[in-house]
Amino acid sequence: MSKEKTHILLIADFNIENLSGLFNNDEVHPQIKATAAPFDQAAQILMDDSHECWKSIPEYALVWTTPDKVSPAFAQLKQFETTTIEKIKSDIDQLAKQLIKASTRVKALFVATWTIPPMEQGLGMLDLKSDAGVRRALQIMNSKIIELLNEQKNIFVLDSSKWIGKVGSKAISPKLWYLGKIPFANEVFLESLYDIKAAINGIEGKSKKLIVVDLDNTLWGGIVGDIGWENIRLGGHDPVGEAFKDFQQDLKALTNRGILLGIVSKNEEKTALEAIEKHPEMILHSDNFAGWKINWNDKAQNLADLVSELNLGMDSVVFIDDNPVERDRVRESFPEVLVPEMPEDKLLFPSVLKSLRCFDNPVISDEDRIRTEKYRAEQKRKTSRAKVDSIDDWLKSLETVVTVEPLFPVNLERTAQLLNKTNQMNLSTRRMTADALKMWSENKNHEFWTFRVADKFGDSGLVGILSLEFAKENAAIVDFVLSCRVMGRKVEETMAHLAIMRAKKNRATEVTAKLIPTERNSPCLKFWQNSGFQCGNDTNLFKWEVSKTYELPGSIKLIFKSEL
Amino acid sequence: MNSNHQKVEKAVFDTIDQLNRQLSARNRLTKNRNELVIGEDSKLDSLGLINFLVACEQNIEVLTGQKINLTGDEMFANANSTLGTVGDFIDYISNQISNSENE
Repeated sequence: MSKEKTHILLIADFNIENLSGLFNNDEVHPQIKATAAPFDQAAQILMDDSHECWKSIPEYALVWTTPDKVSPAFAQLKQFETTTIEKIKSDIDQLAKQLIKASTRVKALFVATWTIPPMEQGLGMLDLKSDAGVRRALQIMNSKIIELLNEQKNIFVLDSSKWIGKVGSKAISPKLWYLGKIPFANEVFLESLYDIKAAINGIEGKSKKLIVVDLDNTLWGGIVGDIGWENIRLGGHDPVGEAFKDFQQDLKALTNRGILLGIVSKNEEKTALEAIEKHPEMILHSDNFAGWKINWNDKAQNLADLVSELNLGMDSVVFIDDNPVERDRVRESFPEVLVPEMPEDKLLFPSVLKSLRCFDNPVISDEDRIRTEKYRAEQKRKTSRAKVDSIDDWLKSLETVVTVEPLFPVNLERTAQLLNKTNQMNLSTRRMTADALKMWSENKNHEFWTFRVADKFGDSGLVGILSLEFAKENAAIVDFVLSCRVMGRKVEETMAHLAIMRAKKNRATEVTAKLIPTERNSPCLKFWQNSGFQCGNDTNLFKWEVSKTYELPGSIKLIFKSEL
Repeated sequence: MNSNHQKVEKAVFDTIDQLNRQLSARNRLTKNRNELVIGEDSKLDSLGLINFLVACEQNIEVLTGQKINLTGDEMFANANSTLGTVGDFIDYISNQISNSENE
């Protein structure tokens, strides 16, 4: 079943047809259908709700303008005419209002920062000093628009100077400008395309969640099994050692963005872990890894086992290995895994890692920063599971507490993130912005509940969502979302219990759950098939008569954070 | 076929590959000497032609080290009269480069 392409509207005050063509032909996920809005009508299009180009209902829009066009005062300044920074700021205020208005029509609006061609000299040494300086004014314009749009949850300002910088001296072609009103070479447009696709992937919950690394010649230099941990190349007064140390530092930095780390390595586990714990310059320690498979088995199999243990999908994985044979093996076994081509020169490892776009997310929450800790706690849970005989005894031993809260401003971002990123335990897999979610929850026929889960091993945070839509005597479960981190610990049954409770309170007689199947949500289907809800001819529709009680699992303590 | 001619052919074919990344399937060019670039029956519209000429100039410079101008008025006048196909372009550019090397 082929998914319809995501639609983006490209609004520019220059000829943006080339970018449109590149989007339409690029087959890398997500596939995008781009439409170039009529040339040089940016302001009209942003302000006019009824403009023709909005009729196709784009999900995303890019607004890429030139500084001279959006600010007549800046255009004057470029001619070294007298004007004021205040006039330029006022022009930007106007534009920000137009952008905010336009952002209500799309899931997300991208705005490219303004640049001027690098070859333009401006006022030279005074260009950043004087009020008449062109680059100073440009920096003020960019700062101003970033500040004015910062609070808008679905507007993202993208740095076009990065795209131009990456392309270098060929980024700007005066010939393309004079002949076709195209300010940038296609390489610049391609850089913007990659960033926009990464952003859309992030918004759609498709960014990568786990980096699995090899050890020898990947996290450090040398074969630890041959030379011992004391002699591996890491840090010190050694360019290669420093590069490996920086590479580790960059991996650790990613964990602060919620990215998990794992190890798949052909080694003796004891030897490898000894190096990780004992080497004085090691940045990453065993606590920084959500899990590992260190043995002599096939790496592709080890990778699959590790990813399965972490309850993630293979398409959320990045695999980093210095060995091209191992990279090929994983690529061939799991095309959905991102396997970056690592250079022979180890000094380039950190820059390869830092250039990956696959981790982009629309928000970074406090939950993200402690994600590894939560997975480590899960590992401990599994160890404790192995020590008890029955699953019920084990669940009781966890002392699980589920706290139910309505949608509050403080948990809105995390809830939207969970809704948009969860694939496996997700009934409808609908994706919504935080604002749209808030609006939906405020409808008098809707109820929206969030679930926090904690146990004796730690706090898993906000991990569940239940939403209900009431129509006459029916209470339909719209969202039934649970993070894979807590799946199978009776939280699902607790959420179903709450659904019945709320239905009873609202005088509904029946609760229904309609599963919309995706490639990823079979765990959700399995839960509903075993939930006790009745299933008729429609094998994806589950029903419960409210007159019957749906018991709260005995292993769960349920707390309500506000009056229900 | 001399080495300049081969380099020019490669530069033009590279340009076609680059251009095809942004053209719709029915407008893509084949790497064939008989493929029309200019003229009523060409798959390229005016924007496509501009992209083709500017990218050609850049690729020629990278591969031969020679700067050529395919976008001047003179070029367009010539193009209208004598140039039409990919092969015409390759021959024209090769001759331009040979002439400039002999000067």
